[in-house]
Amino acid sequence: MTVETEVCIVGSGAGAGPIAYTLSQAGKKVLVLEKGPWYTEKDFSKDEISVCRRSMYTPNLKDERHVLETKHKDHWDAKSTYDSGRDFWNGSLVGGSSNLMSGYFHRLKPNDFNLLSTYGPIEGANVADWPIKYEDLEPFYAMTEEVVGVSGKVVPHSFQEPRSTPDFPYPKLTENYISELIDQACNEMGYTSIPTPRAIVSKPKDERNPCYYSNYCGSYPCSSGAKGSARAALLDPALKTGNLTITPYAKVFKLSTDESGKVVSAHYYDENKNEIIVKAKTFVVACQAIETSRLLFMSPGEKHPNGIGNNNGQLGKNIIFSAGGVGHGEFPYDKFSDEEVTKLKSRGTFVNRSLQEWYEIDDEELGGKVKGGTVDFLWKHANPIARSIRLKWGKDGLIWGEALKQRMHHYFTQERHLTFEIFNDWLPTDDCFVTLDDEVTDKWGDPVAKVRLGYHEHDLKIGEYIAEKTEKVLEQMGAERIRSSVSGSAPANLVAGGCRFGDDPQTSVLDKNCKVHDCENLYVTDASFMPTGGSVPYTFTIYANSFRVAEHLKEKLSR
Amino acid sequence: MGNKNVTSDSIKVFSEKPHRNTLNRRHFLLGMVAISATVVIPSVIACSATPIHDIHNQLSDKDFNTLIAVQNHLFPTSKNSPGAQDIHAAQYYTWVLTDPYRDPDSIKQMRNGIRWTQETATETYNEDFVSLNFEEKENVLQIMAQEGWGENWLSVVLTLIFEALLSDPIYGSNDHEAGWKWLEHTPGVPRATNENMYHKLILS
Repeated sequence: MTVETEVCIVGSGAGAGPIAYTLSQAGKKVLVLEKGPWYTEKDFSKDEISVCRRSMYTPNLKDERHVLETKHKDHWDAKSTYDSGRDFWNGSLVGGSSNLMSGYFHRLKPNDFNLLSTYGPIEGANVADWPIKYEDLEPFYAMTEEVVGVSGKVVPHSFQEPRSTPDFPYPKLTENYISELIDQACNEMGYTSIPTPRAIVSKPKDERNPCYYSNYCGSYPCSSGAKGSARAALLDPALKTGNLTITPYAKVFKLSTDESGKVVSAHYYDENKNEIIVKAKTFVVACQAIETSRLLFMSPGEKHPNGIGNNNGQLGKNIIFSAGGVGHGEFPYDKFSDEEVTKLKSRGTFVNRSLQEWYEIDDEELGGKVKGGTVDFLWKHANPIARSIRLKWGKDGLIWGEALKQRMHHYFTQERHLTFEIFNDWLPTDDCFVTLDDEVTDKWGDPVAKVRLGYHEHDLKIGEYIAEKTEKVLEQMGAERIRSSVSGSAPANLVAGGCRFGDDPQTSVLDKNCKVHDCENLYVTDASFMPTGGSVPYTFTIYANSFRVAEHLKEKLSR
Repeated sequence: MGNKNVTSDSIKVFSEKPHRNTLNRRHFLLGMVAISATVVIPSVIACSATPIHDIHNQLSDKDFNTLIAVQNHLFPTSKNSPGAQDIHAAQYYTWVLTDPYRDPDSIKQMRNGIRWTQETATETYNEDFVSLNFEEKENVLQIMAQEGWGENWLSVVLTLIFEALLSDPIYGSNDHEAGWKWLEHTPGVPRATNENMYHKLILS
């Protein structure tokens, strides 16, 4: 069977949504192919068993897996995630993992676009400047804040980026008493704590209801539509134009090119494993950084013998994650008044505090001026099963019986647990990339992605520096049992690169408009384009860049 | 999340690495016992959509009673808190055995662990585990916890007790929300329904 459309988009998440939204509004016929199911808000619940313990929104590892390479001493050990149990998927549903994000929406800073020229090269790292500047992306950050819906309050601080609008379009969400304690401690230490911008609307927006403070936000799809997922914020409105078609359970496995190198069709398996062919004038791939590289590798043609965009051997290279770590502090209720305890126990209200005090660090300890990172504060997630599982381990192994029960009761009822997360650059290196595995296949018989997960030691130095500083903030707040951990472990939900954009086809896969250099009608608009990732979560920048490319496409397709 | 392997707690999601059973000689031999036992245990071809209380026939009576005894020891009923039996943890465990999406090695480990307990009790006291007094049961479980295979299995048993204790009562456990009440936990809304609970989804 063959289907025809004007624009075919592979994937339906943050990189796909702005393209579908903009082009369908512009009158173009758009088809979105999504591998996963199509749920609506009525289908969502806060059921820890189905959503988190059994991961209903990601593929089953029996059917689809990765092969991950991690370094052990001097060699790389490759293991299938089915064998290791290390699940490396994100959301597989209409709207992608944007349904499940926490929505911490910090913009990149101007220096993030010029990391190489600002801070200089780092041995062993493939740092590169972006082919665009902050000024090029700023209007689209502002557009994202308005269209997707970002709440917060702008507070001036040392590394506040320039803005074309004075503040966020939605007022900040209701905060917990702990936010006051963070502000107080930071003020005493001479730091500026800032309200964390969130992709969650605090008042109604079109047909989306505001946040109802469910206390289960990150990892769960939103039942009110308040969270700015690509589904709720962009695809649902785009459907109303009558120009957008979304096909769920459509696993794209190949893009076919003609003798000129142009993409002529996308091929997918439907729910019944029938092969369907989609012909279109323009193709956009945005199915998550690892899977995007995988699809292009799986699409060789006469002009692209090693996969589309790989004529210079750059495809799949320079994959990046988010470096950094995490810390914790405990706040026992017996150190607070009854009134304060009542306020601390308030459920569902947000911490929503960040520190960008060390976004750039000038310290001889680190050899002078270097790029730093962001700290976000948040409560430990409300998931009771996940929280309990940690409590079964004592210093000498498992604990059980009354000792375990007393520990659980104390943990749940006598204290609250504050977490901080550090985001700093995961430097691109030759040891972090995607290829196709030679042996392991998915349930359709196609080779799975093999990902080498190497990191640069510099990432740890920066993370540890910031962790040490942030621990002192918790100390100032009076927290107990403060600890932190920084490692080179790759967070599966914060991945970018693999098709970096640039002006030179020898060193990049995409041009500055995210079009594949040697393919006139193929664009990549997920996080794959990023040569460096900045020191914030990626989703905001994915949205903004996709809106930027969408404007370019709208103009190009109107000629 | 400790920058370790964590799911769902944070902005950064690190993959959880569950314990994997190690195929040693002991595991292999006991695996053979499990294979032979399937002759008398109904074959599992799909996750049951029936209430979990009706599916204890996934295990023989002896295995089921051993499981109950282990769970009650690990998570006993106290004056002001529910124990494993109060929240139907054994029935929950057997329901998990029927999950077609669970790793087959994990299912095998879940069955074998019960027999390892019986074997360790017999080797140590020449008695069934269920017949032992508190100190003897504690000793058997401590002996098992010293071995990787035993610790892995006991860890799984505890995790599934937590699931039974703190999941939505729609799954047939956490009776009268006893676990939530004990830990003063407020569930998120909307709650799971008959339409979107786990086994409904995987059977659809």
